[in-house]
Amino acid sequence: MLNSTQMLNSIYLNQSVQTQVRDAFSNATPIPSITLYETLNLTTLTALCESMLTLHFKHTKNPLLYSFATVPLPQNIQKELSASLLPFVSYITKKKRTKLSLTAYKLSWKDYQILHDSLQPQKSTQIIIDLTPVWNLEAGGTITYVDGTGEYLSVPIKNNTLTIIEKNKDVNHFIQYINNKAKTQSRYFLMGTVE
Amino acid sequence: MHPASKISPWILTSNLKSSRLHDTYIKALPFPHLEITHFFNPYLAKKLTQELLKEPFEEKKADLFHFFQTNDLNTSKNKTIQEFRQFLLSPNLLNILQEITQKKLNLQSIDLFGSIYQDTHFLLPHDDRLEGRAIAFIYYLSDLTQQDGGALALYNSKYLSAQKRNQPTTVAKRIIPQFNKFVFFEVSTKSFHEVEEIIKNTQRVALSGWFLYA
Repeated sequence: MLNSTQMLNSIYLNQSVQTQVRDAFSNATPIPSITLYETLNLTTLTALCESMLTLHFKHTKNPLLYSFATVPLPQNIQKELSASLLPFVSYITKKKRTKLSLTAYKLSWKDYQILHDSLQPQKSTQIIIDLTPVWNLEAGGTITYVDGTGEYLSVPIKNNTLTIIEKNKDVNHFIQYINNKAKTQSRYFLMGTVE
Repeated sequence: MHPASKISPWILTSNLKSSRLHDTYIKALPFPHLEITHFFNPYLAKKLTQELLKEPFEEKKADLFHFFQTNDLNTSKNKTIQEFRQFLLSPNLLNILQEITQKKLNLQSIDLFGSIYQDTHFLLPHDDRLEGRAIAFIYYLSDLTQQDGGALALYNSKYLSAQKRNQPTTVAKRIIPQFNKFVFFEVSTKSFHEVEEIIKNTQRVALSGWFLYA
């Protein structure tokens, strides 16, 4: 479907850029992480954004924990993304990665996820690919990682960003409640782990 | 003009025909609660609102909530606020509350805060349980309509398992903020509630807190 052998923006294929990204990732505080902009090439990005509109999202709500719609990313898309992302993420995180597991998320007005241990893998490398086309930042919806000491990392809401986060057992995330400023807009992203 | 009560200038005698109130409270769904409109002396309620708005409010923003809140008003130096606090702690009022709720309440201390919710502010579902809390209360000091948002939503709950216990399911009741309305409910494993998002350019002003166990 995505039909591209290399899905990353060509700038991220440059060895010296990759080295800079790797250094920035490992030096990031308080949580090893990096957000890359204009990550996917235009063909891939367009195809992924279009696929978000055709996936059959299922909305679930547990009032004490979360409210959002998700759908596992279809295997064919996952496989194609893996081919490009796994070598890249392996290089950035200095660890060989062989498996990418992504879920597509759709959040709209009144959706959220609170901070709770039960919703998080203990220790993992997480990635987020933001596919939100247009977003009013006053509407909320930010994904924020906290490390339990008061330090935090907010992931920018920006179309075509890739965020890689090294999560230890003390790091958890929440998704800020989306308020009425979102109007009829929805926020889309892929979120999951690389192993 | 309402007749002043012998109990306190804050309270109206007409609302204290309380023999029925225990029944109403205990049978209320989805969990024991009571809402009493025009409960306090309206002149003093307006004065209290004016004085509360002179207190410093701090923005509180986290995964569960976004609103403005005062510090603990037990330490406020404002005379009107302290009079109101003393009224809440007065033996006569606490006796009435104890009769209604059948809870032994602490006569010495309460938790008391002021809050302002405005457009986009909210408080997500939770049960208020914390050691010592017996009865939660909200005293509304502004009028909102259903279209404004800001309702107090009370949740039905379902017992799932010994580990997961009760979990909120659906909204059973919405209480619309109304000036001079006093709402209180039993803090329990079923007392799931939220303040729904304000969606208009308006303010929900309230005093809230907890009566504590003796």
